[in-house]
Parts: sequence; C-alpha cells; structure tokens
Amino acid sequence: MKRASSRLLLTLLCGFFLSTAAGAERLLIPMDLQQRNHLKAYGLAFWVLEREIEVDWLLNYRGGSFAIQAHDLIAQEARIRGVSFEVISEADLARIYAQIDAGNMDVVRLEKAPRMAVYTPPNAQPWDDAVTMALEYAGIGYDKLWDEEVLAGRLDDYDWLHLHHEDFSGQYGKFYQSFRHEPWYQEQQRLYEVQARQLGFTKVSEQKKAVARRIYDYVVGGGFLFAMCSATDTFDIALAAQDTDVADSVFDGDPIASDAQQALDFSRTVAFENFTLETNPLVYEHSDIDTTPKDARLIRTAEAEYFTLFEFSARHDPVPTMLTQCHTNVVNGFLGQTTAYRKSLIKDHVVLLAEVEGTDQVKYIHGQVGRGTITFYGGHDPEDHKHHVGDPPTQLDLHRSSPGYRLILNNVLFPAAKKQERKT
Amino acid sequence: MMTKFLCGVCLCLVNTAFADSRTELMDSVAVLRRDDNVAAAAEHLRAWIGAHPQDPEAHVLLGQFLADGGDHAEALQVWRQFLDSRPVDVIRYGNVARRLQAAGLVQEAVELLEEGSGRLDKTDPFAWQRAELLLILQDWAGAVEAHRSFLRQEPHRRPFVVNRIALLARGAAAEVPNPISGYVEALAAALDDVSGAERVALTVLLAWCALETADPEFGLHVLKQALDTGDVVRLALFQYASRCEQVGHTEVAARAYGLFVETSPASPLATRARLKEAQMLALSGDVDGAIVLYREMSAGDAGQSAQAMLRVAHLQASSLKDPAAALKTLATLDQLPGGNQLRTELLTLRADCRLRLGQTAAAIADWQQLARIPASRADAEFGLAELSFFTGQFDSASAFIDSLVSRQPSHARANDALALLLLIDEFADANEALAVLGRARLRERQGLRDQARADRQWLLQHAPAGLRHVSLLEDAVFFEQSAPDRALALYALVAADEPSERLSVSAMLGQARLLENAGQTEAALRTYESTVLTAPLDPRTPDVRRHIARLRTLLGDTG
Repeated sequence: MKRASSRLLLTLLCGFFLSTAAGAERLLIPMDLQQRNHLKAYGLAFWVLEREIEVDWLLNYRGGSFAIQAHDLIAQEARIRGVSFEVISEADLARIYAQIDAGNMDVVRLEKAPRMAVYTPPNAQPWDDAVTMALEYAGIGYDKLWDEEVLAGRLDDYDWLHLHHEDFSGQYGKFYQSFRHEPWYQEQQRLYEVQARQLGFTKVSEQKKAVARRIYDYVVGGGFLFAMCSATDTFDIALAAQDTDVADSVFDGDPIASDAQQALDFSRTVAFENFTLETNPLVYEHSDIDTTPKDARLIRTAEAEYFTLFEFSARHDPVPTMLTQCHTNVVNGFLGQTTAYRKSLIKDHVVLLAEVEGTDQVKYIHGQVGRGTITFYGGHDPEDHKHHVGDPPTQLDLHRSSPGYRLILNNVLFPAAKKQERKT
Repeated sequence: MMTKFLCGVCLCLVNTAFADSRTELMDSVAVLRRDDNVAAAAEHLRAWIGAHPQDPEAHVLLGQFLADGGDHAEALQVWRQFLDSRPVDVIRYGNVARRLQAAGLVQEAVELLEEGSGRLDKTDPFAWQRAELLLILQDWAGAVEAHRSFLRQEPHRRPFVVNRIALLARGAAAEVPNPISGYVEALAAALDDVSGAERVALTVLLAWCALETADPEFGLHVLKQALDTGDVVRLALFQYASRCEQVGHTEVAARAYGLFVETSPASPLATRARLKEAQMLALSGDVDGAIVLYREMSAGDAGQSAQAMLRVAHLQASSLKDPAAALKTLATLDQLPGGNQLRTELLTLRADCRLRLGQTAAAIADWQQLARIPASRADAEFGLAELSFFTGQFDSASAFIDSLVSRQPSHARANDALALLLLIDEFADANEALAVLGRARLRERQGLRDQARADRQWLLQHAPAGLRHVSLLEDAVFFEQSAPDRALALYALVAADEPSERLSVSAMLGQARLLENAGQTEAALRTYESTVLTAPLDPRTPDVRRHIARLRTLLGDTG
C-alpha cells in the first residue's frame, strides 16, 4: 500500500514536470541564516532525490542552498518538516546562476539518493551515535549492518557506509580501566566473543581485522565511507596490524605481539601513517593519532575549542567544497574518544577539511581510496562537548541549525552528486 | 662477595633468556591461533609447560586453546590441575570460572568455585560469582545459598542482591509466571532453617524480592509475620511501604503504613506514616477511609490537626465533590496556626468552594485576603479575573490579568490568564455572548450542567462564529472521555467552519488526538500534517511536527 502510494506520487510528480517543463518556478531552499531548520533541509533534499527528482546543490551560494523544481507536494512536505523555502522564477534562478558564475561558487546536480547503511552493533550501548541521530532527525532512512552482514558481503548493496565509535583493534574501546566491572562492558565483551566464534574466528581482534579488510575492499570498489570518533583511527590501526597482534591479554586472552609496533604496515592504511600504538591496556587511548588532551585540566569549552573549515575552489574541488558547506566556517569543538587527528601522521594524499587553528590538530579529513572515498570526522557529538558514557541523547530539535551536524549531513548528500574528477 | 655478585649475574642471564624464549613462544602461539591452528598452539604450550610448570599464564592459555578447539574435558582437567597445584588464588579461580562460563560449562564453573571455597577455611570469596552462575542455571536454591554466604560476609550489601533480583525479574517480566519467582520460593523455603540475625536479614530480603517480582502482598505478609523479631523488621516495614508507594502499589502501601503505625506508635516516623496511609487510601479510591484517618489525626497537636483537617476539606471538595462539607470543615480552622503556607491553602480552597456554591462576595473576600500575602498575589488575581469574567465584568478581568502578567509573566497561571485576555479582546464587540459563555463556565464549575447546557445552546444560535466555536471546543473537551465519537464530531465541525487559525488548530489537534487514541494512526498523521499546512506559524507547530515525526516512524511512512 505504501509502495503503491509512493509510486502514485512519483507518477504525479513526473507528470507535473513533463507538463510544466518550460517556464516552471523553482523552490530555493536557502541554507544561510534564513533557514529555520538546516538539518531537516538535508532530509527534504534526500526525500526529493528518493522520488527520482534532481536537486541542484548551489555550492557556496547562501550557505550551500538547494534548488528544486517547484511543486505543491514538495512545498507541502517542506512546510510539514519546517524547512524554509522561497519560490523563485526561472528568471530569478538565471540571475542566481550568473552570480554563481561570477564567484567561488558552483552548481552540483544531485541525481539519486544513495543507499545508506550504518555499521552498528545489535546490543544497546550506553552512548549515542550522532550520525544515526542526525539521519533520524532529518528523516533519512538507513539500514543497520553488523559484522555478520559485512562479512557476508552485504556492503555491496549500499553506496554509503557510516562507522561510529567502533573499535576495530579489538580492544573494546579501551574502556578496560574505567568500565571493566560494568555490566554493559562485560556483556559487550561476551557478545563480541560469542559472535567471533560463531563467525569462525578464534578471537574478536582477528574478526574485527577481517571486518576492517572487508570495509576497505568496499571503499576501494567505489563505496563512500564516513566515520567518526574512534572508528576512524582504529580502522587504520586494524588495517596496519593485519599481520600482528596489538591487543593485550585482557582483551583477547593472549599477550600483544612483542614486535607489534614494528610489524605495522602503513601501506595498507587509508588516512594515517607512522603512528605509535598505545599498548598499555589501562590507558584510554589507541595510538598517538588522536589529540584528545590527556590532562582533563586542559579541556576547555566547546566555544574555546572551536575549529575552522578550509575554503576550497568550488569549481576545482567540488567534493571538499560539498563536504564543508555550512553557514559558518567556525564550528564549536567537541570531544570524543578520538577528538582530532595529529597533522604530522596524516598521509599526504588526504585532504584536510577543518583544523584547530594554530595547533597540529585536524578535525575533518577526506581522501580518495581506489574508486571510493573516506571522510573522517573527529569527536563524538557535535552538540555535546564532553559526551560521557551513559549521558542522555542530544535533542536535535534544540540544535536545528547545528554547524557540526551539518558537516555530517553534507556527507550523506555528497554521494548523490554526479561524479566529477578532482582537479587539485 | 664476589660469589654473590656472580650468582646475581647468572640469575639475571637466566631470567633474560626465560623472558626471550617466552616472548617467542607467545608470538608463535598467537600466529598459530590466528591461523586457526589451535591444536599446534596447544602443543607448543604443553611443551613449554613441561619445562616451565610454574608459568601460570601458559596453563590458563593452554586450557583456553583446548576449550576453543572443543576439547572441554581436557581444558577442564588442565585448569583444575593448575589451580589444585598451588595455594588458592582468588583472581585465577574467578578468571578460570569466567572462561568456563564463556565455553558454556556453567555447571563446571560452579563446581570449580565450590572447590575453591572448600579449600579455604572460613571465607567464601566466590559467593557472588557462584550466585550469578547459579542464577543462569536457574538453580534457585543454590543461588539463595550463595547469596546467603555472600551476605554473611557482607551483610550491608543486601540492596545489591535485591537490585540484582529486581533486574532479572524486570528482564523476564513478559514471562508468566515470572521465572524469578522460583528464587523467591527458594528464599522462603530457606527461612525455615535459619534463626537470629540471619533470619531477620533473610526476611527483609524475601519481602523486597517478593515486591520486585510483583507480589507485594506476599512481601507484606512476610514482614507482618516477623514483626516480633525486633526494630529492624519494623523499620524495614516503613521502607517497604515507601517502596510500594513509589512503584504504584498504593493499596498495599496504605496497609503497610498502617501496620507500621500500629506496631511502632512511638516512632518519630509514626505521624508521617499515618499521613501517608491516608494519602494512599485516597489514591486507591477509599476516600471515606482517608477522611476517617485524617479526622483521627486532628486530635493531635494544633499544627498537625490543621493540616489533617485541610486535607479532609480537600478530599471533600475534590473527590467527594461536596464544597459545602468542605466549607464546614474549613470553618473549624478559623484560628489557623502556622505560617502563610497553611493560610494560603485554606483561603484558596475556601474561595473555590464558595465560588462553587454561588457565594461570590465571600469568594471575593477570600481572594482579597489572599492577595495580601505577597507569594499568593498572582493566584488571587487569577481567581478574581476568572470571577470577573464569569460575571461579565470584562474590564475588571482584564485589569487583574494585566497586573498578573506584567508582574509575574512566568507564573504558572500566566498562560491561562493570557488565554482569557485573548478571548476578551477578540470578542470585545460581542459582550452579550461573551457574558453567556462566562456564565456557562461558571455554571459548569458549580456543577449546574443543565443550566450550562442551556447557555451553550443559546451560544450556538446567537453567538458570532468564533465564540460559538470556542463553546463547541469546550464541549468537545468535556466529552473526550465519556463520548469520544461526539467529541470527534464537534472537533470536525469546528475545524471545517472556523476561519481563525488558532481555533481551527485546536480543533484539528483534538481530532488527531482522538483518532490516535481510537487506533486510527494514519488518519491522525494526516490530520497533524494538515494542521501544519493550515497554520505553519501557530506556536503549537513544533509540537505538531514532533507528533508527525513520531507517527511517521511508527507507520514506516516517509511522507
């Protein structure tokens, strides 16, 4: 019934566009400060794409606005979602395009809604995933995948994959020191161990390495990978440690390999190199990639720990430009198990998208890997500066224009763009 | 001297060699394990253990490899031999038991821990872990015994056991009967064999576990039977009553509080318990019983007496809907002791009762008195504004509202006051009809439903559209519980006819609410969507959007 009604809507829309192809009005969804709900605006754009209607993303124009063929049903959905829009004529649009031509702006056509998957464990965890929350708030549908599905090759069914707060090094987030007596930690370890055995692995760290390899293959084959927090650095650690054992006995029952550090193979990683492992199981850190202050006294406020977005040439670097679309280029900082990346350990081919000015901390990076791409974003929750284990989830309705969350949703839309070669 | 030095050097060399070869062993074992060659890894470890029988990690690891390879019997033997060959090491016993549990050998883990405890003279450091394993096996009697052992060593941790049982009971709440009731039965059976302090501790534990497994009656019975054992059980009875109150077992809570007062009349908690008992009786529907209790309490000191009689009056006015009786009760409190709080409560209640009885002048006098208490001025102004509205004195009503909202814009009644002001302003040119609406409201407040109905009929025929719709909306709210279909029809009528967004949104929200309550979720969703499209700038729109998101998720509807 639902599918039937969706088809009916699609037919109606297509009929409308065919019948009013010339001289039609456009809906302009501004993404500057005139927009009342930036996060839902992404959801609306995605909703339109799902109905096989193209969306023009006007890069750097009024905060990265969207232009869509005008139709009552789209306007109605925008009103229902609380997304601000303006109805403009073709002549207005022509003037806007002329303005775009004259500045560091460009138009990217979004053609098809990407198929979305989020890598998330089946058990409830005492923390939230900012991306899942953003997708749900924006009304963007996604499927959940876990190790079994990844190893069974299900990734090929999706264009976009998100990883959050996972520990691919098999060290359970290195929460051992603080949480090993907590029931959730023990239950998680038990579940992971059972699953590893069921999937034919002797231990969790080996299984996670296999999962990381599968995800790597998916990216090389053309997938879009977006990761946050500890999923970013531990993904590379797992790839580098394919031939060694970096997990201490408290995690996998046998000691760390004596030459674990020397055995890391950085040619296999996607973003980082020459990093040094933190092998002490009692230290809440995986390696020196992460720049989270070790001394709590050095942690300041979200406003004081702001980071800035780099500006790119919209015409020559459309992908980095898409990923950094925002109504501000200064974004409040936020911590995570992995908060930001040490610049000196980032591979040369990786594009830096945002940094903490005056430091060696890079917050947001992007790179091409084979036919696909990776985008890593440090930190846990853009609107909860110090998100502790067990904290309640952030209410996104209170942060409808969150710049930090906008960066997440840029990643959701960019795979819908018509592919173009990066020129610089 | 030289000999000692040489011995030291030799020892260092031996240790270094040992460390190097052990590292090599562990590396090779890790590689074999990664390649799934568990058997070869186990052989390496066996060889190593042959030469280094004192290496504890190697024994534990060997057992793990054997268990991973499916040879559980051999694994168990390796671990047992290793643990038996040295003094009891609590951490290692616990570690091996966890590994057995992970391999699915829960019973064997229990037996191992029992052996460990047996090897120690008096202590039982494995009691908690053993209890956890026995709970997994649903060996309720065994789990009770293990918890008893645990509590003998750490009696202050009884809440720990209760919380664990409560958690398990909640986890299995969907099963009927709840399997955890087996634990409660085993605990009850264990009571027969114990005496003294342990009996008291187990009695309290049993009562709490019964409550957590949704059998509060049994818990109360257990405590009642043990009241003669001393103060611990009596105090536990008060706590038990509080917990029953907290989780909504008001009837049992009332009886538990009553039993506490009966058995501990001299306790400093007795007065509080009696107040709570009456409160619980009223909540569970026994208003008469509550009033009797409050009246008994009024024989106490002046403060307690006044408080008790005020509560009687509240019950008479609200639950028994008898404002006259409430006024009589309040009349006994003319010489009210205490501070402004009791006085405020008395004046507010008395003004309301007088209004309901049609004694408007007396009600005004009460509110005027109330207005002299600074903290109550806004409440008094709201009462006076309402009364002015009821009696058609709209200028006076506006003046009271202006005063209230300008001084205390965040007062709890400020929004209600503003809604009243909006109504007065919006229908300023329909004074007669507005006065009829005010009178209808007053008559409803006074329980004169038939007369109020006549007023509302008049409004339907003579009032301008907006005011007519206000009246219909009030009717619809009245019928929501008793006649939802009628309410729905009234909302639909207003939504279809009303030109003002404010009222049509109210009607549509009422419709959506009733449709959802009736299980017509999709229709409710469409109504909410229409509401936003009709009035996107209405202040209630953010809430409506939340309803839309919620219902879309529920229906799997993407819009």
